Amino acid sequence: MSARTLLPPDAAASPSHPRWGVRRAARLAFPEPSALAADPVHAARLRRYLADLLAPYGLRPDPIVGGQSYGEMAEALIGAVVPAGEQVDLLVLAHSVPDLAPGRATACRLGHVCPGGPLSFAVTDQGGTAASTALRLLAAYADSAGLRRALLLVVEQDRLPYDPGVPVALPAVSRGVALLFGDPLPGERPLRVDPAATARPGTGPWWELAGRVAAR
Amino acid sequence: MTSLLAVSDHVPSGRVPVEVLGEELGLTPMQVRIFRRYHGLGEVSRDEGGSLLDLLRGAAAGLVALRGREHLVRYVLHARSFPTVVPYPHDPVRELCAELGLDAGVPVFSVGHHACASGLLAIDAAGRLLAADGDPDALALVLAGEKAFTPEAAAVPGSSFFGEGAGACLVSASGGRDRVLAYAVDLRGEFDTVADRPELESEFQRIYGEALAAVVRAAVERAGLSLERVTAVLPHNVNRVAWHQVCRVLGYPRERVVLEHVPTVGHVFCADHFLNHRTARQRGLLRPGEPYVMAAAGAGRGATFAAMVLQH
Repeated sequence: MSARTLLPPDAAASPSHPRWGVRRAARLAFPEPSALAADPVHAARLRRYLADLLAPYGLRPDPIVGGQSYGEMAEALIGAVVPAGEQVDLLVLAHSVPDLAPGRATACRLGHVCPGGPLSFAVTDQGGTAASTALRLLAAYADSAGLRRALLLVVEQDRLPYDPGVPVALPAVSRGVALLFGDPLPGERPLRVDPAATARPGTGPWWELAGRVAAR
Repeated sequence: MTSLLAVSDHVPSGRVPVEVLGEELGLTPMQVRIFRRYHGLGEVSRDEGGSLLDLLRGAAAGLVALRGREHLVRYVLHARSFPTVVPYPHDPVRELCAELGLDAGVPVFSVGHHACASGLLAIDAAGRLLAADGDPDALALVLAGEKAFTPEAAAVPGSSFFGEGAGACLVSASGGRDRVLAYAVDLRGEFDTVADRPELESEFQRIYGEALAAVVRAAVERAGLSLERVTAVLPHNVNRVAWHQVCRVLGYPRERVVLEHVPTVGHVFCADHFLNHRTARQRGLLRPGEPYVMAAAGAGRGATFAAMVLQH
């Protein structure tokens, strides 16, 4: 794969298409543990990682049972939302609850498996509203870097393999949402989305949005 | 145009020799000798008993330009080498923002999955967010730095040892200092499972120098420049031999690559560029109006090669 090169915002600015928005959406629930959860090599690595992560906080991991690999969730979502023959320029993965693979550069991997070999990265650790910031970034890169065919992936799992010692809200079920943004193809009416309107924790607002897109 | 209003870094005073680290990580004496003699690593920085908040606080304290401008900060980004570095939902970056007197409503988040190249991503992302908002006075605070809290975050197998430290910069969409001219990134997700597949490890080592050189060349060309005009390269501190190889591929003089901290500090996650920025300034390698390059390869589970051209 060759490098993507970007100019800074002013130099690369292109006029925003007035109808850039959500062209397609998919939403999936993941009630079963991921395949990675059954991998004993991964489990041993995860136990060490978590034990060392938690020790400075006086915490210890629970026995690890199940859990979700965001890579597996995201690959299923990509397959559900990116039409055959289409390419993606930019992929942003957003979540709050950590991945079953806490040291993995999952978004980098997704850039490899997603059609178009998009620039991909992750936005996390924003108290449940990382996806709203991810959407702002998606729009900013679409306008200033010409990465207009953009995929937002919002994933959250229902499991945290430790008691963090502070209040924490976890989803009732592991879910993921994929929103494919772009300029309209003939016959399409992309849905404009205001990041401020989705700045609520979790996948809830994105799940509802995906439902609205599917119903159009 | 994205620019860096100010840059700072913090390196704690503690040091651990690679021989001690090697023993802790189960390396053989021969492997450790290779690290010291071939890769040029001697000791790495450690903040024994200190936290991530302590490291980031140290870097932020050096941002004199932030004082009196706290109300202008619209975004705070933590550039991550490792995606998960504290127990969820603990948030030391937000704690730091409160200490600094930033607006409680400012988005505070992490960007990453480019491993140790995530610092360049954070600068680029911050600049685009600010430009989209359109407020010429607005700023973003970019932070980098992590704890070497577990073996996976203590060493890059066969390449380097991580040092603890931090860096910070204030990003503006309209400033005139250290302006970003171009950014290039090459994601190599095919190396995702490199830790479990020795044949991929060999392939990664084989392409490393060429891939890193290629992304430097791509960024310089996109900036409309030739490499001869680049006054300095601010590298990631992975080791000396990797950068000597990149210099050979590029035909770039190795004395203009800031490698001073490899033997005494180690590879400070995404913060190497901030540390090396200070050193390049002190050495007179950054001259007003002249371009320089910050570049990194992020390796681990997934690989990223990235370079950014800036004008001092």
